[in-house]
Amino acid sequence: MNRKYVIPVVACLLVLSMLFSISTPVLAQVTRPVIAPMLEVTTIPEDDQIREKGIIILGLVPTVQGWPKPIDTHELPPDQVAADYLSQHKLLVTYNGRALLWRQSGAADSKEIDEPDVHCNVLEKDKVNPIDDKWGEPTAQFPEENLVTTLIDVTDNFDCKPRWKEPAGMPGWYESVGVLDVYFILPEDADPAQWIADHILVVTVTLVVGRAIIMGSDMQDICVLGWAMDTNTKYITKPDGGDDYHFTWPDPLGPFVSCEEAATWQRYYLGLEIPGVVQE
Amino acid sequence: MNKRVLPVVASLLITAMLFASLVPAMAGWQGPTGILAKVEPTLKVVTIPEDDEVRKTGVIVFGLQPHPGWNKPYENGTDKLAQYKIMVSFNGEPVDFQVECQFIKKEKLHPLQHRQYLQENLKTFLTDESASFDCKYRPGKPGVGVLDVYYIGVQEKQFIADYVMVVQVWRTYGEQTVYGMEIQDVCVLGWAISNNWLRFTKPDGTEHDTWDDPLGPFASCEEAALWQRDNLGLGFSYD
Repeated sequence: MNRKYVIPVVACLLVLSMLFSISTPVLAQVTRPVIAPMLEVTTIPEDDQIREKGIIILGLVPTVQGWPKPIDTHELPPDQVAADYLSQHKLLVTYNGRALLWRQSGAADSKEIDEPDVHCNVLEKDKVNPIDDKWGEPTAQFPEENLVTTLIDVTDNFDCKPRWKEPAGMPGWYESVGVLDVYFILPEDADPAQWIADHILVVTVTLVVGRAIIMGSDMQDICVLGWAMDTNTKYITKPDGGDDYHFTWPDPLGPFVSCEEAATWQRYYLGLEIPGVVQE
Repeated sequence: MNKRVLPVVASLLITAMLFASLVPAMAGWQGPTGILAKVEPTLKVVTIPEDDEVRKTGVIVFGLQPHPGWNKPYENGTDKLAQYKIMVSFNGEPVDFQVECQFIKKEKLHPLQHRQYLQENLKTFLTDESASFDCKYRPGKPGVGVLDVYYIGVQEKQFIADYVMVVQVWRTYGEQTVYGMEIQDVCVLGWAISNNWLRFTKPDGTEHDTWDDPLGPFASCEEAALWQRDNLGLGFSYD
């Protein structure tokens, strides 16, 4: 090799190696998990602060004789069922340690954000009993697996509405502090008893910040009961004329320390057996 | 070899290096959208309510009298102080901080208009009542102490409600301010729904009231406040 080329060639190699080293952080971002900007979502259930859960009451009564726990048997106003289809949760969304602020009328320019999108997913938890398949082979993997929890996505039957707070002294703005009202919407012609169960509520908040979409999630409990296990029902007349009432109970779960067990008892006293399923 | 090859290749490589050095600078460019999503350091805030450790809420009692027809326990007395433990940490280490609180009253409203479906027959209505409260940080060690929350507003039935307390903390490092936030419950009751009441005299002659369980048979402040408001003749508001 001509000696006059050595130094330039070595210089080129060194420069090339520098270029490759500069690509290292970019490659790391593509191939490794990174800490991305995110929203911090905090929810606090309000309906039952002892068991920390929202509660929905469907207004049913036991159909199997012998319900051994409290139930209010006092007469209700005509054509009324003691139901409460609203579950309530406090809600805070923060980004880098602060609440978000946005105009109620939408972002005025590209330096502002719009209202964050709040989406709820609701999963119903049911117990099933694994039974033998058509060849008589057990589908439980071991004898102790005689109960299995199955999850059903019932998101379509719930609607959650954030009620944001207007900051003091800032009319026309909202900040990401408030309440999440979660409504149960019973499909027409459906048997409400099928919805009695412990439910998982997943609250996911999404926000567009510049070119990025950032997210945050939190999980909560919702207990759907057929009836309140409390002997003291209060009904309060709503403002629209006297034939519409709001029903409330001091402690709808009564003697039960868990929604899971309460729902199992209520389903039994509505004649709903634990279904047998062939596990895949 | 053409004597121009090496200088041209070197120029190209050096130009490429210049562009590469722009990568970190581009990361901070806010682009045509004007704002950039980024991870900033935050303070971690933990608060623990002390007044009701079963329902995890602070409790304030106005000392009002129920009207005839109240069929739950009732005890006399007033307590306008709700208490919370607080710890603020940064990267795992408790640190000194500054604090500000907001208080939001939650009420039920019956929508007569703009109801989206039949089930939306009640919705929550929020009002900022921060002017009726004052929260004072009592430090014990750096980053660890107690928040004393005082009710300083008027003691009237329309303020009986479940409240959201928002705790905003911050601390400055050099020119950068680092923030953290948490929410807590404050339950404002007209009277204690309890069967036991203790009153003792403080050194200045004023009295302090205390109850074993001011929410009594109620599993939630929301329902307790609704029952007390109804007993005092407050119906649902509407729009």
